[in-house]
Amino acid sequence: MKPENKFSFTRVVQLIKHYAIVEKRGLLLYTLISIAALQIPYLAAIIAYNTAHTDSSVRYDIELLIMILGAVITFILLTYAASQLMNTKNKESRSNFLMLPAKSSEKFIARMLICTVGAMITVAAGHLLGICSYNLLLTLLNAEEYYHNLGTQFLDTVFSLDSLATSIIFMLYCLYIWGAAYFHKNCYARSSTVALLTWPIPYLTIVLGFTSKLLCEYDNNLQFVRMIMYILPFVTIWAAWRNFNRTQIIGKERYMWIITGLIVIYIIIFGVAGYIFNKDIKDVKTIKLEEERIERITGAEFPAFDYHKTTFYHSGGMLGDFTCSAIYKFDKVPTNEFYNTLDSLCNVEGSNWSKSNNQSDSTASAEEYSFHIIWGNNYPAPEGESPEDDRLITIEIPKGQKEFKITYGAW
Amino acid sequence: MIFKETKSIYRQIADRLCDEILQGKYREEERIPSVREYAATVEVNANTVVRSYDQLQSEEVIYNKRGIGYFVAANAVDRIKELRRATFMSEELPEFFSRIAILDIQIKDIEELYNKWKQKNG
Amino acid sequence: MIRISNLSFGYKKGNNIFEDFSLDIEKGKVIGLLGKNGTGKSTLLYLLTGLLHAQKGEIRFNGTDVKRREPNTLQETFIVTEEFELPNITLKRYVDATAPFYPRFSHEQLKNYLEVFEMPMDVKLGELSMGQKKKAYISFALATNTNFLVMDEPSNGLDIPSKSQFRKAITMGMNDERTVIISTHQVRDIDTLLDHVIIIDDKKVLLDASTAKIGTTLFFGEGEGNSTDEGIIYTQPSVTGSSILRANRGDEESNLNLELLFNATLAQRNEIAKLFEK
Repeated sequence: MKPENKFSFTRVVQLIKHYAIVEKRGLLLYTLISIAALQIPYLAAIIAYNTAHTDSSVRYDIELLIMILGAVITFILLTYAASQLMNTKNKESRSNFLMLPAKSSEKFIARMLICTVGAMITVAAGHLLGICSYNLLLTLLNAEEYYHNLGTQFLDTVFSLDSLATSIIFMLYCLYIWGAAYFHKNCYARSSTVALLTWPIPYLTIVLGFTSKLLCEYDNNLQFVRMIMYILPFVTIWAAWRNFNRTQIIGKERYMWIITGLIVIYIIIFGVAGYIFNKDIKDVKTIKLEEERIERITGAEFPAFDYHKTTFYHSGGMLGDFTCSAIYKFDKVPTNEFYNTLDSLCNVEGSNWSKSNNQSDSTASAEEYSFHIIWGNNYPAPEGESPEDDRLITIEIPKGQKEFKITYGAW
Repeated sequence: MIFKETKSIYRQIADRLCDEILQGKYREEERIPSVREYAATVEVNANTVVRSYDQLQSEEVIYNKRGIGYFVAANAVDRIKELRRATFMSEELPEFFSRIAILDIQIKDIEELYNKWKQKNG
Repeated sequence: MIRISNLSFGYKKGNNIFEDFSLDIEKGKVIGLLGKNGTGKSTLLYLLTGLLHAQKGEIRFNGTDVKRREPNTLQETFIVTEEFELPNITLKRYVDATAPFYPRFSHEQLKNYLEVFEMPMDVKLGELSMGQKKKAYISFALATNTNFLVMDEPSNGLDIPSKSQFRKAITMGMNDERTVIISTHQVRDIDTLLDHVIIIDDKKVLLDASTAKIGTTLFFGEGEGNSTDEGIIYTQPSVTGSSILRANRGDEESNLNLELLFNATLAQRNEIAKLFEK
């Protein structure tokens, strides 16, 4: 093989340098818009958790809505940013790029590096800035932080089992940047739409903490899902490479359909698995606590109530830790007799019951009764419960309302 | 360089070089531009200029020193005048004669006008 | 140097622009590629540089298939497209970024070409007019010293003094190893530059001859009014009456009138083909 035709990392570096000089505008726009876009989820978190009124069942829906809105806006901005990165949508840029004297593999790898490494650095910078501004805003506004340590949660996500899903999504995002923006307008629009459909689903499932269950190594049923998710990126890269080698200055690319198809398969699998899992939460994984058990643990007689819906489920991973919050509904608004019972329980010394006045809350009930207990790990268990389990229960009953909340978890 | 339709381009280039030699731009035994350099000056394909140089070489106006380049021949000025005289005599003059014959002008009148012109222009 | 063998290509199925097309291109020549609009001149240039892949047949540059886009072929190829993009940076930065890919790039030559075009070295590419951008780009292209230079309508957008500078630059840049293919309609801008003429139409090569051969095979004359001279292949009106194209009667000298040749070849392709058969 002639010396100029050998693969050369020097040339790869030269290509990257060339790109940075010749397309610096695109690079700059991409970085700035992406970093700005990544501030939005944090902003959304602050808005979500501080605008919805506590203790209303609608609160969780509003929070979810704001978070989803935030995710969608973030995604749109990231897509737009990505489109600025690879400015090879017209004949002239393609001609310049294809005619540059370097091996196709060198060009392919150079561009992939720019996308993946560039995106990684940008995303890291964006999240770091986001964490800082999140904490800054919280202090400035003296706002309530519902999610403790949102920032470290992101880091936890990256370095835990969730990272597999994150990295796969990330790779697809990079391939999208590399692939869609590189080729013609048709492909660009197609990939944009597909990526738009792909993003919110996995993004949301990660944010809401469901993914770890999906990827839990102990869950054999979903192994095949994980296997496909492992293979998909490599098939996509192969298709992208074949596509790249057949690039012409005019004309469609056949292999773009493979990438699009793969992304669609990915959505379907993820969506289906996500749905199945979601169903699990509602039916089985949701812990519905019975009235009798609650009465036994709290030592209070409760009026008839029933489980209404789960609002939150988080699993901490391997150790089987989880936290589940659900809304329960009394058949009727409790009588004063019940509240008097709770009052007296609050006054008992060392009681797990307490009462608080939410001065800041302008909704109907200013008074709230809460019950909190933990057992296991050297903490004594209440009657009827085993000290081998590590459990925590928190009950929040707003006075005068039908709905109350029970949080139950393992720790 | 702007070329006329009537004469071959390579001849027009040769003429131009001869004009420059007559004007003293290139003196005898002095080096003239290479084929490529002159081609760039007149904005013409080098192969055409090669023809011009070959022509001038055969007419002994220039000569080639191997490996060094083309040079104006000794007596090039005289040679050029000689060649142009010959061309004038063989090509332009007959045409002139036929024109004055048709227009019925006498050689005597031409000579008179020529002498007057010579006095004015020295 | 470049061999096109049995090339078939079309943008849409069943509508081929080239059908079993073959052509050899020699080195050290300035070649003019002429053809009516839509006959595929740009397409042929894209095929020659590997920007388009032929459906059948192959194009080899010094033995290597251009489809493979190998670095050592790309290092010897440069195409100046009709429309091109230059980033909004200084010429110097552009050169710093791009020149390293061309091992024979010469900064000295770049300076010379820019001088011919009367352009300063330190310019911001984004601030140049279209014509100036073109001149800068052509200077860069010539300075890469690639052995294969392809130009699609290079004199388009150049004002008259710039066209003269263009001719100068091309003649300066020619050498025995380099082949330049210029595809254009503005035949008068380049007719003095050509060594070789290729005329294509309707999927075929109508004419593929050196200007020397054309000069000995044909005669380009000017006539007054209607000449009923036998053997006239084609006439067209001109400033002095009419331009006439006929077979050369042996050793006649005339200047190549490219426009006349082009029109004649299109109109009388069989006659022209016959004359050049030998």
